[in-house]
Amino acid sequence: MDQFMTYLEEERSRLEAKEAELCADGRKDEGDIEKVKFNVYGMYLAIYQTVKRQCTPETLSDVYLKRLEEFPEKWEIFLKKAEQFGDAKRALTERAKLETLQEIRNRFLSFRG
Amino acid sequence: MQEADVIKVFKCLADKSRLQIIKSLVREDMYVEQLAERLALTAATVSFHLKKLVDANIVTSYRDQYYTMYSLCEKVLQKSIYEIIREDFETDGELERREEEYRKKVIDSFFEFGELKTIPAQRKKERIILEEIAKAFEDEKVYTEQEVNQVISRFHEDYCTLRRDMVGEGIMLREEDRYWKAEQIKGPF
Repeated sequence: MDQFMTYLEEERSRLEAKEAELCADGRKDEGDIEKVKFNVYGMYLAIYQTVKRQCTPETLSDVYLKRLEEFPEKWEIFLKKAEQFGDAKRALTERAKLETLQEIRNRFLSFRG
Repeated sequence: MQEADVIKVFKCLADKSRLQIIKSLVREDMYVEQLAERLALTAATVSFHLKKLVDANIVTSYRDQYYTMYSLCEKVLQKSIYEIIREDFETDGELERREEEYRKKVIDSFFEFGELKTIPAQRKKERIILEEIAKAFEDEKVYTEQEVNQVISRFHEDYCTLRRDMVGEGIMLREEDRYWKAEQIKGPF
């Protein structure tokens, strides 16, 4: 499971570098979306570290999976509303959060085995 | 062109992806998925950029059988940078325009998806919010207090404060437990 933490940290570094690269390339708006993904990875890294401290190895997996389900519903509501109100940037942001969470979840499940 | 429009155009052009979209559209009109494939961007990202370009009047869209096609508005792009800078910005109605911009900024800050995020502490800003909420009331209709509360609660849970302040600001008038929009009718009594 430490492999999962390493994965989260490496993805954060990668996204941070990608954001800087896009901004330097004159694509700040796209860089902002990478920053959003970076923040999502940061959030779930912090949650993972907390869960790891508080749980036993046997219960860690189930508790963390449950924590992964806490936010998506809100983000989906915001995505629908953003599309309904024609807020393109907000829609892009909420979609990026949901896609990033899905990647994290899938990767966690693959490490769990 | 207004100064705000000029700034919008330049801000829009100051992005590599948007420049690449414009260059693609110089050759031919295209739809979102075509642009996405050509520029190796997601369709959602292309849609976001196109919306900015449409807002700046650099690009326009039209429906073509199955697709929404995008094309350049050549009028803006045919002006040279020098011509744009040389232009005297229109000054008629400058004050009204600034006030309208300020109003829009307040509304954009305090409303999200049609709901009020928080009641402004500053009176000037609160008045703008109250006037915006007042648009939900019909002209020349007399409401009961319960009806007023129902309308306001669509915007924010603290309908009591908002109702009281709408009366306090003279946006709504009240006679006993009946309410109506100000400046529309004299009142039911």
